[in-house]
Amino acid sequence: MSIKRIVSVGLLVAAAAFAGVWVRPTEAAAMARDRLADGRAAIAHIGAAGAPAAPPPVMTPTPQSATSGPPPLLPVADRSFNAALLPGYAAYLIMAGLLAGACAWVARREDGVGPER
Amino acid sequence: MRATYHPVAWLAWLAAAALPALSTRNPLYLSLLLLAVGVTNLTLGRANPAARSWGTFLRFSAWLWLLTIPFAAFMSHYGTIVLFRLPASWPAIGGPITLESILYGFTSGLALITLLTIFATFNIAVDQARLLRMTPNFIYQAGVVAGIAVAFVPQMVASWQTIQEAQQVRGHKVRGIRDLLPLLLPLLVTALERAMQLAESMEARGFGGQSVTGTPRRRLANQTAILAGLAALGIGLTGLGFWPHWRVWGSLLVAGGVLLLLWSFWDQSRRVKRSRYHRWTWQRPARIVLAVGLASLAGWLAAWLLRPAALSYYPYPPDSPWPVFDPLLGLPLTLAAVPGLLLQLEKRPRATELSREAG
Repeated sequence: MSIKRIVSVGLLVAAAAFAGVWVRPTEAAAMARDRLADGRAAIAHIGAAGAPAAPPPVMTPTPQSATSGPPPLLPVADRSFNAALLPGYAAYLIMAGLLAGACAWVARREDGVGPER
Repeated sequence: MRATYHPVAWLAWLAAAALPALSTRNPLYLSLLLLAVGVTNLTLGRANPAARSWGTFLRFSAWLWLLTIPFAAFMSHYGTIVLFRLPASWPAIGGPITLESILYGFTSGLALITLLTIFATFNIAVDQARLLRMTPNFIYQAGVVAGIAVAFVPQMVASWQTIQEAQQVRGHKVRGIRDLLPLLLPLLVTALERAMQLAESMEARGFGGQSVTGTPRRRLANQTAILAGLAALGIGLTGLGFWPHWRVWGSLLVAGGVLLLLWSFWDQSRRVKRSRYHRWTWQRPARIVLAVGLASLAGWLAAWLLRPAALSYYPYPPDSPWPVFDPLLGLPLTLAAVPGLLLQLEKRPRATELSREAG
């Protein structure tokens, strides 16, 4: 058994041990949000009893999971890409580009291949 | 080259870099912070033994990060953007594989590796002796123990690399698990020898001897103050947590408990004598690092307290999977690169002077 195999198996075991830690909050948070969304939808429905009939929220079934219970219904919010995000992304690209350039410059200098040495 | 800035300046840098890594999951902010910390990390030198040992640790964390993505994707099946489906009969991993779960795994791993890189950089910049010197006088013994414990893993990794290189020079090759014995045995012997040397040197310096002086009455007053302070703190926090109308009394109890504890610690520290043979000086770059660190910390803290929604990111419904980026919030993160750039600027004149001398 080579070192690589031992390391690979070790990594897999470690990741399996950590999986529960990462996945559990995900499921718990998602379930809490599901319940919140269901509650909000129900309140909106009750509140609209006396008022003129409001259009019901668009409901869609969440994809069924093998490990979870019956699929909850989620109101679909506008989750598509918004063009208002573009200026922020442009600023991010400039900042990240500058920092990546600084990283490359430092790495070149530390390796002693830069023009300064 | 080891950075020689004042440890307090590095502490400010650590706080300014660690707070964003702990308070947001937005991948754009986290990646920007990782790049900025990377500049400082690279500057501190890869030839440094401490940097090499932490480099191994970071490589392991990078592998762990790559594993978080498939694990989150296969184990969590929430989300609406379905990429593909696995048969539902497959235990645990069966079901839809969503883009949201992949994004969640990616951001979780990114936060983890960013935090580890920050602490690795801090540990390379400020060595164990400096950290030990910063512990308050009244807990210096606990500080020594903690310092030794913190340095254990990096020292083991450095020893492992040294032994590996020495065995490679002798022509040793690792082909199977049995070939690990010539590496593990010297590692064990080195660790035992180091432990013995450490114990002897601590004994020779009188570690663990009676250093706290004072009358029995004074010691009793200190112990009573600690007990009363902790009790007040516990009752006050419980009151604030469970009975909202207890707000004034709870706050007063908490404040009183903290004051009592601080007084007791200060009084104990006053009576412990420590020798210091080298005085730390505040140079201009260290002051710049401190000022930049504090400014960055204040900026991020203000955003965290006043606009927490701007920092949050959650790819699952009903939130959007598209992260928001505000350049004003990104700016404090880029300041984490300042120590690295300052050190580079310091190196340059030094190299020029050396070349002049050689000429």
